[in-house]
Amino acid sequence: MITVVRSLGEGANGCVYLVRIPDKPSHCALKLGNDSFALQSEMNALEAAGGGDTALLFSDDAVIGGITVPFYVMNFIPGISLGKLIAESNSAPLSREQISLIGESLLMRLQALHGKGWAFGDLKPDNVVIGDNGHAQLVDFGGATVFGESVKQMTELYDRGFWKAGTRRSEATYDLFAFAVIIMECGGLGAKLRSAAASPKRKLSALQELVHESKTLISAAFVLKRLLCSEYASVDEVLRDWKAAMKPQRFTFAKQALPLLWFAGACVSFAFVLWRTTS
Amino acid sequence: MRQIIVITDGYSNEGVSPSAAAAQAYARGIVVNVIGVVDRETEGMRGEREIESMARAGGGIHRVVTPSKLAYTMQMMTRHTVVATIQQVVNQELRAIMNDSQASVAALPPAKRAEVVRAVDEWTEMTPLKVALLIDASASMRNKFDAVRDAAHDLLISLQARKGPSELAVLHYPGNSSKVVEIDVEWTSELAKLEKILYKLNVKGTTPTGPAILQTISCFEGTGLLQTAYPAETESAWGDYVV
Repeated sequence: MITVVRSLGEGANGCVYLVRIPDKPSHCALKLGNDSFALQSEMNALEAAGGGDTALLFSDDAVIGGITVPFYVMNFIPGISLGKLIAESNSAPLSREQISLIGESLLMRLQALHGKGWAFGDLKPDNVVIGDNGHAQLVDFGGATVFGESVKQMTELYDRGFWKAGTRRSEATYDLFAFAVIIMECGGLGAKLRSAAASPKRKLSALQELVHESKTLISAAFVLKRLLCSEYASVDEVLRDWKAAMKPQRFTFAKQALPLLWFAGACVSFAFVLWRTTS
Repeated sequence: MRQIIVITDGYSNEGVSPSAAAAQAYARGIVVNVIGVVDRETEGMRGEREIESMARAGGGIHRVVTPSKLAYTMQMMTRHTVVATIQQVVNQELRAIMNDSQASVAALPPAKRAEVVRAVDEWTEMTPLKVALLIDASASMRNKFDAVRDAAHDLLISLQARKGPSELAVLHYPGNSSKVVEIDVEWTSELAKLEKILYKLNVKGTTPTGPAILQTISCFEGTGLLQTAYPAETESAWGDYVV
């Protein structure tokens, strides 16, 4: 007996519901497929590339109104989708601390996935869930693709092929490009990204210039620019640079005040010299 | 796997009917998909019936879209064609093996599906693929050419990512000096070759969609284009003159 609690959303391959099932974790996510090939393909990806919190529990067919519909059940990942979080921020950037944590946890998810030889493919805010602790989790493995094959599902704005910035072959750098665009959206550049995407002359350099327009992302600009042109070979390097670029800025006051201090110092010594010479 | 994607914005007005031509292509194992391009989504398309029956006769699908959705639609159609064709074959095989006219992957026990679908995915990725873009270059289409070029470029990026051999050809119609079609780019997998498509245009106002499809078939069969202006079977296909 499966009890449906509420709808969680819709992916390319079907609808997802929050359900309760006896003898299973208190809450599970159930995905009802619209095509048994596509859904099975997604389940195969989930089994090979998932793990930990995103694990396939079981699958079967349901008969709904006389029609046989395939479904599978997996762990429920509590939290709010990053897409929603960005929409609710009303084009204001998320806080620097928040972005730092989202970026770092997302990179660690990608690291684990890439370690198994898979790219996530359709990486976008709607497929990232932010938990209460602020950490990111990946959901919807419909686009997950073995390294070396052509990416199965993608979304224009996050697709480097669309920006004429590289191939659509599944590799670490494909996901990392999408990661950079997601971070730019977190930094309040969503509207500018979309208008650049709508331009018929859209290209990588326009995207790279946009990076500098977010004050929140200033310290990470060089990491993002390198990500956009696929210059990082693996997540490990990105993680190192990301942590360094986004570390808490404790000495910002000293940095900004330094020229002032110099000036004040110069004034004082000038006054001192003046006083000495006049007296 | 072989596929023609016709991109047009209205009725054909010359030669054999597009559906008859599409049926001929399908009979030779070439799926015909059709995209109708409109300026605004709400306005519908003149000649939508024609493209619908053309796609049905060609074993493919049709969509009416604005220029901005062209790239996505072409990609979706190409993937759909490959996946649908392979699934059809797999279901046929299953019916033969299980000796059951209702058998299909969906009817397999869920536990058995994983293996079959893994094989289907692999086949989808590896099977050789040839896509011919056949573009209506009549006057009303001209302002959409930037979008068409962009979409062709985008499609080739997707084709290049496949593991299996994948090639694209681009043709437009009507051609110059009484040719039905003009080949913009012969079978290629190089992006650079796409930079010069849709430039040698004919100013004559006809839209010979049917004859253009017939000519594109010969492109697949390695015989090159028949250089006769309008093939003789054009007449018999309409069959009005038979005494």
